[in-house]
Amino acid sequence: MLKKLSLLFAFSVLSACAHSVHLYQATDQNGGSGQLIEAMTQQKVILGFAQETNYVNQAYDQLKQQCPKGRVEGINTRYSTSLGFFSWTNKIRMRGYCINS
Amino acid sequence: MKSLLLILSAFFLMSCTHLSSVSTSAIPTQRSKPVSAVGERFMFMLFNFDNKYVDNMVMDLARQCPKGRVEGILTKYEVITYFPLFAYNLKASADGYCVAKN
Amino acid sequence: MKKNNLVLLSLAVLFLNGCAFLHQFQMSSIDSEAVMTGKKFEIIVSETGVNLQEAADTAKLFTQSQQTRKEMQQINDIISMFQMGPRTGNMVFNEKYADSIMRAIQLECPSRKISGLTSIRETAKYPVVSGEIVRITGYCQKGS
Repeated sequence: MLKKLSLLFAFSVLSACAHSVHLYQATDQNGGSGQLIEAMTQQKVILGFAQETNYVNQAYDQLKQQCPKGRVEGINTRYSTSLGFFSWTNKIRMRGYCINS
Repeated sequence: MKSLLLILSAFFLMSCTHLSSVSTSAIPTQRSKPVSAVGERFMFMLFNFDNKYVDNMVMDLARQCPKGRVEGILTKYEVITYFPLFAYNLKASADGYCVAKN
Repeated sequence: MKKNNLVLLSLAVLFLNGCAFLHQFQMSSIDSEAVMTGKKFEIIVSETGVNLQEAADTAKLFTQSQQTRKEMQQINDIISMFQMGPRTGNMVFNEKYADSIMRAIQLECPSRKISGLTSIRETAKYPVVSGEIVRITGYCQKGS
């Protein structure tokens, strides 16, 4: 029993906060210096039931809102999932440079 | 023996394709000059030690459009199975349009 | 003996190299001048991924007891309930490992004239563990 518990503990420590990074994308820059802006949104999925992927558009909108009068260049996008108990959290993080013309 | 050969050749001729990744960039209005590049590798028994075959694709596209910009790039990465566990082809392709630089 | 050494050497080479799996690749638009006259750079970041099923399977090899093997599988099944969700490659314990890329790009190209960026997400697979890799290649044009 003690052996089983210690094994369970060891595995639990190993399995804590597990993630999977699906995608990372970087885009061009044209040489201007700008302000770093960032947007991050997430979606909690329970038992696989997810009907939409609007959290991606929300992150995109947030990024645009932070740079209303300029160009957003050098956008770095990370799409990852934090794994959980019969549920998981999909995350989108976008960072870029706001170049005011 | 003949039927076995027939089945084997059918497997090879069928070759299933699985699309693993796809992406696009902004599509330009000028679409008169399409350009494309392909990087591929034959994989025997699932042994593949690097993915360097995709690294020259950017340069290939740039050479087809030396004085402009390549935009509207559609990328695809597909795995073609010729014979399960033994013969695969890894194929990355990029198709875009050469547009004049502003 | 020589034959055994050869087999061991072949296995070692295989394991040390690891198999490379490409999951995703994207390309940004290409400024041909920047690509042909600029300097190519490559940024690779990696995090150790773990496959607990393979870990449990390997652990089972070290015991003869059927009871212990059964318990190991049970523990693995319990833990896998806490790690549900879509996966690309093996799971990692730090999701932010790729976030340093943005700064690395600026260090590689202080002029910030960057084009022909290719973003690749790949896995270098070894037994039980893996390298969960993000690789960015691009071209940097010198600033005017």
